[in-house]
Amino acid sequence: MSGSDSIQPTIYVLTPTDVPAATPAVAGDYGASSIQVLEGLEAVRKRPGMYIGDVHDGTGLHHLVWEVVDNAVDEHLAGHCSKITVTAHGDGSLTVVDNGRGIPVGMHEKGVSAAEVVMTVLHAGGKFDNDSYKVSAGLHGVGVSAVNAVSEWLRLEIRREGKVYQQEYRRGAPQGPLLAVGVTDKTGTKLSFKPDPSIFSLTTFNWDILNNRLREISFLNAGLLIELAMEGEEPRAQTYQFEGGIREFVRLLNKSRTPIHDEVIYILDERDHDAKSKVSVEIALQWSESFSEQVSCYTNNVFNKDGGTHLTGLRTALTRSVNNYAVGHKLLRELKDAPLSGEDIREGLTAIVSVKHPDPSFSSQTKDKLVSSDVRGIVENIIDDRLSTYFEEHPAQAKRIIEKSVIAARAREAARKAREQVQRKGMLDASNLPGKLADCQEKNPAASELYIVEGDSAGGSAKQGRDRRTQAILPLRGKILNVERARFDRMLGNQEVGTLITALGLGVDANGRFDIEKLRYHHIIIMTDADVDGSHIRTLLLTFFYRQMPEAIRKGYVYIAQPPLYRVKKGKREQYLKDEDALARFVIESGTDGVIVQTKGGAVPLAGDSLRRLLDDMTRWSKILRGMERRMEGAIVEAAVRAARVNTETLRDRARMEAAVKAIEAHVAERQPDLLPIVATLEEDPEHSTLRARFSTRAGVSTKVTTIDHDFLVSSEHAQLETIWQGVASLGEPPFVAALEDEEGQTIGDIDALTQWVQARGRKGLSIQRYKGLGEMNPEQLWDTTMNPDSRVLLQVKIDDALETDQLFSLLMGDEVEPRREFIEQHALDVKELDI
Amino acid sequence: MTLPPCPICKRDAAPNAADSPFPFCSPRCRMADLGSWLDGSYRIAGTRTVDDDEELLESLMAAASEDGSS
Repeated sequence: MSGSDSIQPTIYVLTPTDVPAATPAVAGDYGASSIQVLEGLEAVRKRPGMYIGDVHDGTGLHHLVWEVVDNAVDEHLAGHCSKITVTAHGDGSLTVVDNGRGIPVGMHEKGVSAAEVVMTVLHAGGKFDNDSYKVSAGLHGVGVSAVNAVSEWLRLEIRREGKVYQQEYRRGAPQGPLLAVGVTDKTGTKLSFKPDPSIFSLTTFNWDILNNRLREISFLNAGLLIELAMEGEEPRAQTYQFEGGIREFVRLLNKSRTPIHDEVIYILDERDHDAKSKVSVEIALQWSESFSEQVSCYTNNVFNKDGGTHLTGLRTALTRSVNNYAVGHKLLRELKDAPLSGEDIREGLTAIVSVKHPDPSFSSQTKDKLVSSDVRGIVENIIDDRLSTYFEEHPAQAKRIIEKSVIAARAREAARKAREQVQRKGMLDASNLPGKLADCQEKNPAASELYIVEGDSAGGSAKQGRDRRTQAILPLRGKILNVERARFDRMLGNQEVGTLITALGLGVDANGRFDIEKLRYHHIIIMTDADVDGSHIRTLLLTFFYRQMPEAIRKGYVYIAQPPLYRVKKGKREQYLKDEDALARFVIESGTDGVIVQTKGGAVPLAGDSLRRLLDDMTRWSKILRGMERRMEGAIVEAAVRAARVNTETLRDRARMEAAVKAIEAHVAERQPDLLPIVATLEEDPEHSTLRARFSTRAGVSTKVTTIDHDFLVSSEHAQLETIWQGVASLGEPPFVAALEDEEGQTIGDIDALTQWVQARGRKGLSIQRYKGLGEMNPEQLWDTTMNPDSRVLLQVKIDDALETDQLFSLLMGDEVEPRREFIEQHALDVKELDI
Repeated sequence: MTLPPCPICKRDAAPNAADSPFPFCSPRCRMADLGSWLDGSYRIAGTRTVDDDEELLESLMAAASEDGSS
């Protein structure tokens, strides 16, 4: 105890052979020999702050309790005490009771009892009975005599060797010798004291301080029972006993966090200190999802707030063990095999290190930091040994811990890079804008637009076609990465992302957040080709905005341009059409222009909107069948809906199903004979207690199996087809007769024939140009169709769209090709619709 | 609407609000994501088969010509 030795006065060294005397000292012996002793205590009374800490703020007051409690804990460490009771009384006094061996009561050579020496001589406690107290809490340096010195009164009651002894002190002075007052079969020490109000300005014990420290002591000493009670106006009591010791401590600390592995990792081991004694090390570790590190270090039950050699040992060995395991099991590939730093490994770590050392050294009297150099090696050695074993035996836990560290490492590296790259000097200076950016003249963000255009050629057209006062153009090119043979991934290169950030004028704060106030454009318009590449680039960009600048989406700053996919010309009429649906509508519109349609028996003639709705329905019909074509043969589905009118009731009746199968076969044979031969089977569908029909079309050649069953009949596709067909059927029996105004009617045939007739009429004299990319449009066309604020259509991106994009992105990115392909195959239609 | 989990670590995302790290759980994970953008680790995996995919063939050729020019 290097720090505390400087203020140590004369000590009485007691030998362990101090056997208790049968006859206690008598009152008359108290005289000259005590005077010298009391001089020591007088020094404590004169300068209490030096010995026990601040007497005004409560530090010193509670320090008294710890001096007494530590003696009891020492008894526990020596294996003799299982219970400690601390009671704060209403009169300001406090009692500590333990069931240890009891303070020795034997006579000391100077004619006083050993107990009295302990109570009146500074520093006597720690040195006392050194062999049995292999490890001492080390106390707070001064011993229980200091408590005695600053107490108005102190009562000592010792149970030892069948007898009960008592002695009382006032302001440190014994009021008589230690006297045997009775007999008992118990052992232990009971010590009551009342801090002297003439010394302490604050004399009230604080529940929280007592409670927290006693709980801590209880955690650090597995199995020790500690009872705390506070009497007075608001009595309170608390009992602690933790069989799990520091394991339970860690669990408690992690109570409000989410651990990433259930079991607290626990290590208890010891190494020789010298021939006679050992250093024991107890460590409990658990990682949680938290980002902070919480490691508490104790030496002989005393908290070392600045850590010390045990903490250093823990950190070094932890870094080494985790890295060794991670490298050995190839878990660092994501970091390109760079080792994990200690800081990354300790992210989310909650740990207690408790060292029991026979002779610890501290940097200061307050024991804030352990400096015993041997501890570092011992802790390292034990962790190296035990943690590696733990990891080998618990690979799942080890993997989770390492995965978390890897994320931490990536995050830290990313943060560093991001700051470096984005905050580089001058990067946000407008004069330093990327060369590819064609900026606008307007400086007010609210009136400025940025077109992010895919590809250089389209960028060129956009630059020429734009309104340079308010429209800026940034051409971006998605990179194509050859990952494997025949697999080409699309990505935004680092330069593209950097360019984008700079062009947007965004700064990054310490948290990596983009400062939306600095955004240079309040219209960010993504303009990409209507192909796979374009949709991928758009997905990437939207994902970037959604993740890194959700505020821009929330404020409605992000848009998607709607360049046309087609240019159509019919006669003098020229029109740009956004997509296939628009083209289909255009064809229907021009095909139905001036036409009146009627069935022979139908009462109501169809023309204009009503006719277009009918044909739109038929377009939708085909689209639904196309959407199902991977799973089902369209002709079979069509026949099931139109000819057989199969419903869930039909499935329950074999006779009706047989008739339905025949009807379907006949319908297909008549309309699509190329699908023959058809092999149809009826079988049980036990899950729905119905029948189901399986049709193998082109049997034996390129067979496709279509199942008409309960699931199909309750699907949304079937419901839509059914509704459409009911509408068609309600028009009356075909043939349809079409007539131009004031002209003779022309008999056309059934609904499909009518559809074809309208199509043919609509396409007659129609020239269609399909734009494969923006680059195929000249600047004027691009301006007219997509960029002119007066006529263009922009889709404003909402946070929900972006969220779907993010999900799509998560699905499309990365290496997990298999689930992605399955998903796309199953949801071919869905993915198309997600293509915002 | 239930939020999807943090894209980086999969724990619960922060609330969708102006001063939150949404759609991440924390500023840390947002930074990790930004880092991945900045070092170009995000990519969309291409389809494995290229037979009938005209566009993919085009991009293949584009990639080839790009390789040739650099």
